[in-house]
Amino acid sequence: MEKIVEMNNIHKQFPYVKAVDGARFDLYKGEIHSLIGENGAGKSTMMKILYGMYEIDDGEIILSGERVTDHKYTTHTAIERGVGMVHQEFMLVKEMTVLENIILGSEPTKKGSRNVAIDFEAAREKIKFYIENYHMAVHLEKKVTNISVGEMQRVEIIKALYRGADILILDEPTAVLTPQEADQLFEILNEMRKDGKTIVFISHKLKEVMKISDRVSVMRAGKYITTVKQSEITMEELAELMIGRKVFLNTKRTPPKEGEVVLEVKNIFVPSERELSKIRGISFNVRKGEVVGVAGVDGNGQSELGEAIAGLRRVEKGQILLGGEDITNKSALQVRRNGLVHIPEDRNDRGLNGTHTFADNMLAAEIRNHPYSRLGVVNSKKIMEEAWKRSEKFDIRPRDPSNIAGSLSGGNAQKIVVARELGAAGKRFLLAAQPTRGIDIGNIEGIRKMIDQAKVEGVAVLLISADLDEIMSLADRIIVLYEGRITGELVNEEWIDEGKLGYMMMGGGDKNE
Amino acid sequence: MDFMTIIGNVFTYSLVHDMITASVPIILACMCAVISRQVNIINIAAEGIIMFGCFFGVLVSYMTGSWVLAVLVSVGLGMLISAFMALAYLKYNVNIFVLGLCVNMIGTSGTRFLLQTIFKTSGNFVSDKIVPIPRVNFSFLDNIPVLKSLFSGYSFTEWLVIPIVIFIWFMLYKSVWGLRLRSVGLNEMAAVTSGIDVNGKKLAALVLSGACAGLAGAHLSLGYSCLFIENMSGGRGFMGMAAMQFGGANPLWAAIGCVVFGFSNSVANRLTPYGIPNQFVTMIPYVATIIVLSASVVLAMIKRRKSESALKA
Repeated sequence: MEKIVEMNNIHKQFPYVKAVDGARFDLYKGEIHSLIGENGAGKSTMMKILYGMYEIDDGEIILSGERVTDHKYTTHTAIERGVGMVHQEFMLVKEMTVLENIILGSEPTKKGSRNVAIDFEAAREKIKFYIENYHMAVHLEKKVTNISVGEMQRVEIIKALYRGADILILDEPTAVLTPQEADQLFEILNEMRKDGKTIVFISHKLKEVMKISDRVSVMRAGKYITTVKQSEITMEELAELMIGRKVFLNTKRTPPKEGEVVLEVKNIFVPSERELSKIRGISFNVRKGEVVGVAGVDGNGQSELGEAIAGLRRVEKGQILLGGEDITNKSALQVRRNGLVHIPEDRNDRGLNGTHTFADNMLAAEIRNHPYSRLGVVNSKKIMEEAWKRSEKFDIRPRDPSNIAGSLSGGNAQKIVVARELGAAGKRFLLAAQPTRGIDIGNIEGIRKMIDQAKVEGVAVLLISADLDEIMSLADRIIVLYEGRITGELVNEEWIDEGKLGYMMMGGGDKNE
Repeated sequence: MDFMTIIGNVFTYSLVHDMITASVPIILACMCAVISRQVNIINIAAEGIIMFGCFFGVLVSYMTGSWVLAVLVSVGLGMLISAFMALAYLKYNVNIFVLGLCVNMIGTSGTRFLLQTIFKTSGNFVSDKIVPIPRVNFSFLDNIPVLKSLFSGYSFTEWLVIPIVIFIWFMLYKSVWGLRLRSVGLNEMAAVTSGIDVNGKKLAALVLSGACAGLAGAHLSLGYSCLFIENMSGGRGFMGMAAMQFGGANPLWAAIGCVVFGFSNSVANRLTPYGIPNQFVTMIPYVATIIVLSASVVLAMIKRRKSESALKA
């Protein structure tokens, strides 16, 4: 088989971290090649380098026998050379239509207009081929804001193919899909392989990797570990290669000791910029000492639900009670005073102030209270004392809380958020939104244990997560959200059928319907 | 004189002519704001560039007797100033707001300084050696006063503004260049991953917006009037920015916003002789700015709330 990509001895340094440290990678024409590793292993960086988004500090890239790194190698050159990439965060312009997004950067033009006026008709014709050939339904005239996540991904794939990509890199493509949508994607990828396209599949979901790949490359901490044929390895061996030790991601869930109702959501309606994320009348309770998990594909109203409870988004109708008190449309501060603690879903945007110290971040929610301040004057000594204690308790590395939060890796940054929220006194209700998103496996385990521990201490927990494994390992009860409505509710017993959960996440009703 | 007579004297058919005349400099300034807003840059330098445009328009016209050369120099100067801003902003990461502020301050004081050193005068400069931008008169309309007032007697640049606005609209929304340019403003990462040269597009947008502001300046001193006065930009750059906001950075809507300002400007001019304190009269365009902006913000908010609502089926 023909070797079409070779990356040798690649080095890439970012301000705080060496993302890629002497790694290599290669591709044969017509294969599906998985690149696996934990979060932060450098797999995305490696592929962004191949796509020309990052300049390398050292090393070489050879495409079809030609050393392209001899000259300036940019995204533009990568596209010209037939490399396409579908990013984990979709690179779509929301305010533009699907059609405009697909052609952006390689627009067909009307004859006689000197390549100035766009020929939308010709573009539609050309795109139709990909839609039909690979069975990827997309609405060309809709604005991207108004389409589902699954459709956005199809748009991204068509976008890459439209640019003539022969090598298609997919960065964690199934993270935002239901199990059924993921299967559909795999069918599309298999079709493409038959057509002679080469696919790089970045993932850490080993089940999927085993299902789809011809070969698998493993990275760990920026370094290249090995490349193996799918037929010559087992999932367990892959896991060990990826993590470097034997880990079993099964947080032992403590059985719930249910007490009185703490959070009561009564038929609420919550607005959203996105049609599918509007909450349209949902009700549920969370009791003291239990974890209720909210499952669902990203973008079905999970964020809006969390924000509405935390006082960050307007509720149009309905009521939210916390500890028997009405907190509907109260300010975030008032809701906190009623006993809410909140791990927000976007750590960098809402969770943490990257320019402040660990200590400031850890005490940010309590800085108004005695002894951390008096009459508006902050008592730095008390803050540092408490911060040291929490640093120990929540195992934050480095320990010293006078460090700046922005320098931390995902896992430790998130532990600071957890330390702020779970270290606080007087908490009754924990709202944990995507608490382990984008962090490494070691710290995922730790944070899940902390959430379970909070439950044992009698806190009511609402866990919103797109990660089904996380919901399964922590939640006592699961509610499934689809297009802003609850499509199912089930008790997390010995064995839950993942197919059934997936079906509910796609809008299929539960046994009652 | 009673109130109704004043109203009658102010709102005559010739107000339309005045309104258009008053709108044109604002529209040109507004195009400066529109183009830079499309790449997500708030460019406040229009005011300063207009001042330079005004002064060098008059200077070149006075020296050479050629209004074409004067306009070209003003436009070129506008492009040069904004290219300098782009260099500082894109390459050396200087805050664009600070840059704009500096250009505005230098615009007012620099032209005052040049006025004193070159023309040895202060306040204003009038001379019959200044050749203005010619006016287009349709002699066949001379017998019909209403049509004559509506269509005749506009300067060349006033007619030019219509194709300019339409051209900018077409380029932004129907051309390859515009699609790429707008993608830079709406989602920079999406543009980067599509292989678009983001900084190149920003530079192009800034230079073009400078050209518009330069033209606005030349028109103000040679088309709208035929002289140079200190501070003659009179906030038109900022009114243009407000109109841009009103029009959501779409050149057609923004131009309509500018006409509203032009209307209030010319009404203000006509009210001055009727004993209404001058301070109030000169306030009218700015009060109009606030009202128009507030209205557009409130309308946008109502529209957003409605589209966000989860209550409708």
